[in-house]
Amino acid sequence: MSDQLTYLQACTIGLLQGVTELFPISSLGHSVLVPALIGGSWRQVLAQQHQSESPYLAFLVGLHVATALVLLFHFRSTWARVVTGGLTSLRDRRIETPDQRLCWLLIAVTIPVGVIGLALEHTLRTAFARPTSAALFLTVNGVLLLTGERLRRRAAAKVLETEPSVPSSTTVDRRSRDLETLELREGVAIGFGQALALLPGLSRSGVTMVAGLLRGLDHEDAARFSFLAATPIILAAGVYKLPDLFGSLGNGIRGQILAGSVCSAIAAYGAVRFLEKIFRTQTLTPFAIYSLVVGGGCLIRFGLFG
Amino acid sequence: MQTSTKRLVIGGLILLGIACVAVSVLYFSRSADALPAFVPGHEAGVTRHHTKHGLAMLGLAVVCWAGAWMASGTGRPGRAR
Repeated sequence: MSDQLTYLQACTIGLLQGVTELFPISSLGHSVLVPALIGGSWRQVLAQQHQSESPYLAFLVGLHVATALVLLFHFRSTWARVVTGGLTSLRDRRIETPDQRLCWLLIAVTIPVGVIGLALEHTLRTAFARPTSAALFLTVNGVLLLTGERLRRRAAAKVLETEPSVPSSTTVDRRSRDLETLELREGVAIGFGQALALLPGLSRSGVTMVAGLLRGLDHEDAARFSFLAATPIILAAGVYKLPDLFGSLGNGIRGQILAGSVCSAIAAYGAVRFLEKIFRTQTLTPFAIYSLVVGGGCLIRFGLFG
Repeated sequence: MQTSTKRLVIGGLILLGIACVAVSVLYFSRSADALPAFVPGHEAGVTRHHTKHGLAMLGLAVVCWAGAWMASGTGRPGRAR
């Protein structure tokens, strides 16, 4: 493996993973498409994703853990409040404060995707980790993001139609919900939606953001919710496979894993800061266009020319 | 929540938790090829145990029982804001 995965490849894949894990454009899809597009020895990296046990999977574990740790660090105060909220909620057997509610909401979101992931992750990865299907699902991801934005805009327009006398600033407030007001059943539904991201090309954060927008959150809260919901899933996926990293699969590539993980952490930190900033004013449309263009282009490239 | 519905939810969650523990025991005690075909993780010819699947099922059982514990409380789940 050390002959196959160079430090350049490790750092490039690390940077790619850090960015695409949090951007609504599917990290799994890009981990399939980019090596296939570059070709050469990169294609061998791609081929290892089909195996049930390979050193490359140990490498991916390192990247996931790095991304999750960055998210934990960035939202450390929120997580401290969420954990405290969960413990006080268990003690009092009540869900009253926003932090208590958020804690149970995150649990409700995580369970469906965790269970489905455990049952189907390997099957789906080996069946669909191919350039053509990843390109197709990336295109579908673009359509999903555009549709989400359109439905959200339509819902907002309805509020303006029904309440034309309400000043615009108030309307914005009224049409947006606070993150902590989401119902637990809505969390469960979003959790099932996130399971779609087991298909390479469909973005977990994209699905979560669209679901959040459709449930009335604004873009900033939808993105925040996506990052918070991502942390336990990414961390669990990493910790779940951690023995692979320290076992025989990690032999000979721990240096590359470390280098890739550092790159992934730096990229993830930059990505989360960037997304938090742009979602104060921007929508998902640029990411939808990116998914459509890249997905469509790759579909033509791999569908027609193999 | 009405008392009868509440009891149903609590009972359901407790039973679900027990079922999760039973499945986790299956994962710990049987190799992948000895698991029933409908259980995720069944792989013909694979002799290793799906220990991590078992741990995940135990985690799910804990969540189910935590849910039952919460549902048995006197306080009604209220809106945060």
